[in-house]
Amino acid sequence: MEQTTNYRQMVLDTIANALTSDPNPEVRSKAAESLGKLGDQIVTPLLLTALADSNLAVQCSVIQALGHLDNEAAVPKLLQVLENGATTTRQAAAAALGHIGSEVAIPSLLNALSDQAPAVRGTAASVLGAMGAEVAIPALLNLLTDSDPTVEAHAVEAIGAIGSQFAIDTLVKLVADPSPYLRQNAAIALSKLGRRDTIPMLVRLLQDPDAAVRETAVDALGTAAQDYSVA
Amino acid sequence: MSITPDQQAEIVRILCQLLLESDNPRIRARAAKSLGRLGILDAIPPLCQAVSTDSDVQVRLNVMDALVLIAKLNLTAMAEPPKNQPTFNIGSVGNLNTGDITIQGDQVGIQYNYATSPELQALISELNSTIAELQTQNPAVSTEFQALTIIDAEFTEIQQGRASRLAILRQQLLNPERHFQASKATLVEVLKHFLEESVWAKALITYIDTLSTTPEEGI
Repeated sequence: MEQTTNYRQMVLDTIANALTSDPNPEVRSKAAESLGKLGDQIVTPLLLTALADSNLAVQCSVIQALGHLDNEAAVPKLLQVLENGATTTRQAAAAALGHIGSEVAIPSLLNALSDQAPAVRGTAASVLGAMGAEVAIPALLNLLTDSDPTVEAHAVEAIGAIGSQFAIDTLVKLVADPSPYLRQNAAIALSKLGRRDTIPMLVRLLQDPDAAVRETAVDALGTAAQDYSVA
Repeated sequence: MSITPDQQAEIVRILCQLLLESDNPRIRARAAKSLGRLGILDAIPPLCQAVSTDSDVQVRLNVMDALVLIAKLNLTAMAEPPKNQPTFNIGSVGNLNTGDITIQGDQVGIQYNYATSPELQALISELNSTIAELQTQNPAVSTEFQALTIIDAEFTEIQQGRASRLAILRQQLLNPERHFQASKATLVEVLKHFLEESVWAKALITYIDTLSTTPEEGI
């Protein structure tokens, strides 16, 4: 047993040393990743220090590792990265914060929904959706008209995941919006909620004057039907 | 029948030696990978040493994967169990070599199916001593290519009529009917598994691999 403890310490020390001292960034990345997989909380302070690594890829691995470790102590630093980091680290920080799932992160994640980088907006949307953050619904609805289609898709998913009454009310209004584009997105979001009362709205959209909306309505009905069959 | 703990310990010892002493980084990297698959705690100190001292990046990367695998298999106290398991992202799973753990079974299978045949074991030990002999005779050789050249020369000499240990070896190697039903490809794999310790072994494997599958041809 004592031998086991020694080995455990030896592995941690060795990999920690590689993270701080190896000249090669790939090796430092792997070291961070390994520490995340080993899952020992004792390395959290070391990983937090390694956030200052000169290499962006290493920083991203460190952020992911902090997400894996799921330690609330990492939240303040991760919030800093989410606000001031490079695009890739901001995205990684959003994902890691989602992993940790700390409510404290929600305001910063809401800000991240208007990040200049689509990747960050999309990740923030997914994370808020997974966290079930109702407070994010208005901002997520705005993203339904995002310039980046991937972000829109993430926003739709997130709204579906949160599935609150407020979200449904808003979507019901949007189904009748003058913009065919919004009608489409709202139909998709509604179909993902898996609620029986949304079916008539989707059926009505089959008569929509806009051809693209009618097509989307067909898809949406298919999605809604799937949800019911599963339930 | 599977291999005994003693045999396994011996394999671990050989792999650790290769990891720390082979001058071929690809061999060192493969030794690290194999040690990770075996998941034996005793490999931890040499692996830790390799992380700190090996000059080759790929070796250091493989060694860390191996350490994580061994730690995961043996040192479960390292993790806070429920939290840790589902947290791997897709990239991590790829690097974790989860698939390789199952491959271990195949390797044991190979060892069992072919290495337990007395003929093949005799042959392997014969090859090992041949390699040792070649090594002593040609101490300056350091690359697989040089070794290959000499092995080729030795075999050519056989063809010119000089009966030697290598001549017998070659006949045995290329006579699948008498000694084993395995295909040459399988033989090469088995030999790789048992011999891959030096440039000589590598060269010999390469040489066997290039030989004709028909025993009569070229002898």
